[in-house]
Amino acid sequence: MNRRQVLAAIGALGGGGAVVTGTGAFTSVEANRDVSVQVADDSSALLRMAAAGEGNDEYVTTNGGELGIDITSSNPTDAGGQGVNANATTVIADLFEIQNQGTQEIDVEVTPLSFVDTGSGDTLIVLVVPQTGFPLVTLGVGDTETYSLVVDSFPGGGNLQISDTITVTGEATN
Amino acid sequence: MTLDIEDFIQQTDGQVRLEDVPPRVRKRVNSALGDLTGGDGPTGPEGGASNEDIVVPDDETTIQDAVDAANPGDVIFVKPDTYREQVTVDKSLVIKRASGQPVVESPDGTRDATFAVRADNVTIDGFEIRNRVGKDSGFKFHQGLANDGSISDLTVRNNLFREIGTEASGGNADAFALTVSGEKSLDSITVTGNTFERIRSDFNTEVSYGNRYPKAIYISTYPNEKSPPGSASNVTIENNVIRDVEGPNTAFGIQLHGPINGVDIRNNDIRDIRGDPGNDITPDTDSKDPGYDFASAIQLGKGIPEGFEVQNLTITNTFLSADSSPTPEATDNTATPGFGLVVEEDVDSASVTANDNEFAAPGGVINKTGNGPVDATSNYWGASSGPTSTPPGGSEPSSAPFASAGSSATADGSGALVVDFDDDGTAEVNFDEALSEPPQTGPSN
Repeated sequence: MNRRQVLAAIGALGGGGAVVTGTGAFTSVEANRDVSVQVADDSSALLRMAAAGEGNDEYVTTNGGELGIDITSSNPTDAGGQGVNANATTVIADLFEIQNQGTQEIDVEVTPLSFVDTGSGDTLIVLVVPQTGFPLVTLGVGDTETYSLVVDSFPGGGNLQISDTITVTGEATN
Repeated sequence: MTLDIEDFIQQTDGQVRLEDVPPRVRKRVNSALGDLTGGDGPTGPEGGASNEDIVVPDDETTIQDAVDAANPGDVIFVKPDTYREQVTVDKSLVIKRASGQPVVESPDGTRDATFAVRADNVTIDGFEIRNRVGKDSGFKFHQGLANDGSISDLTVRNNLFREIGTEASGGNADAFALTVSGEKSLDSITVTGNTFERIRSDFNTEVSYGNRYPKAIYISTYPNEKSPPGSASNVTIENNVIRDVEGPNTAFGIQLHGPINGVDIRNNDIRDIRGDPGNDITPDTDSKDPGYDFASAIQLGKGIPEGFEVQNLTITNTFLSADSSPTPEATDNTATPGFGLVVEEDVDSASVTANDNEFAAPGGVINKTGNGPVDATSNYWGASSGPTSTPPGGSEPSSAPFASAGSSATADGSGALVVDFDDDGTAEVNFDEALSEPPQTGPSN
């Protein structure tokens, strides 16, 4: 039934009923309704952040439900790896992913995407590489963006270590 | 979407600049980014290099910088130019020309080898290597005991060794073009497709040291006479041209020194190996040694401790010529010509075969051992009549013409010389039958 059909029925109902007059106002109404908001782990939040599940999950940590990336001796791999090689490019493909589990299309941005540390003539570079959008990516409801890591140290690497924070923002496009 | 490192550097707000990242690192990072973001990556350099290879001078200015920056297993391509540097290779690498023939020349005053290699699995391909003044070789692949003394899998190919020792002044007394030496073991050494020319010992300058025996190829497992000899196996020397090697005393095209088991010398062209070119060294520095007093295209096994030998050596399809020009002033000289092949006393001569070669006059083969005859059958001796017993310009040995070992054939031809070293009437060489026509010799391609 479309709107027009509904109006027609009301009119018919009014024409055949008793005549009633008045303001229709209440003195007061009080009604209770439910409001529930829960804090979820990153892995199940509206803006879902989780390991990509492509074999590199050991480099992803979860602390209090919050995602982290740790390729240091604090998080050795099961086989004993505790860091990247010196004078080499290390690629960790499909490391983590961000998924829009909300109700609207959003722009997702991870900042920064580049980390640099230098010392004693050595340099360590870490690049966070999105798969489809740079520097931000638009995600429809249910869409996922996957991020990889490219790490290079040159010429040596020494004892360089990067300990920093990345910020993930999600903003509705409309 | 194709990303490269510049995209990320722009995000750093000046914290890092593109020029802070060496070209080689940019290239490998871009290669990784290309793989991740679906791009083809940057265009590869010429000469067959991939994006992960190092190109000199594009990525690194000098060959040494490229070696320092490389990882074991990398390939370094070198574009044509003249690189005046001394290169030390201390990791497993392939270093090859990108195109043309780059020149690597020891800088003036640098006395070390032009290429000094101290690692396994190294290939040097396609250079012109010059070392006019250096003390050491144009190319030296040496592993002393301090570095475990063992080396393997060396390939030296398609290089031109030229102008080695030609301007030495008290420096490169020996003028070795290519030295491969290890105090413990050498394994899988391949020298192929190279040309060696103008290798000179210093004979115009008074020097108080050095033996002044120039050599194109010198392989030794006994470089340190204070230590026991090492050993070598799987040595291949093929398709090389060696010419114009000259010294005041003597000269060698190829010299093998120390216990070596298994050497294949084939399809080489060795000529113009000259000793005593004018004997113009001054008397007080004249280090002439009658025992060495002739040039040799190939010399085997001199000076090895008793009990160690050169074994299982084959020489095929090789042109061998050496010439000495004795002068009247050389009082300790005899009129001995240079030889194509000299088998010294520390060789298992019975396991040496030299077939299908051409020995050019005047010198053929001399076997100084008592270890059995050298199999020198099926060679051409520079004349269809076969080898001779009479040294050119010298007196005829008392037993001449003497017989071939294991045969009644006599060295009564007009070709290259064979020698009855112990003067028992039989040469320590089996030269029967000789070829009446020259076989195919020299590089096969």
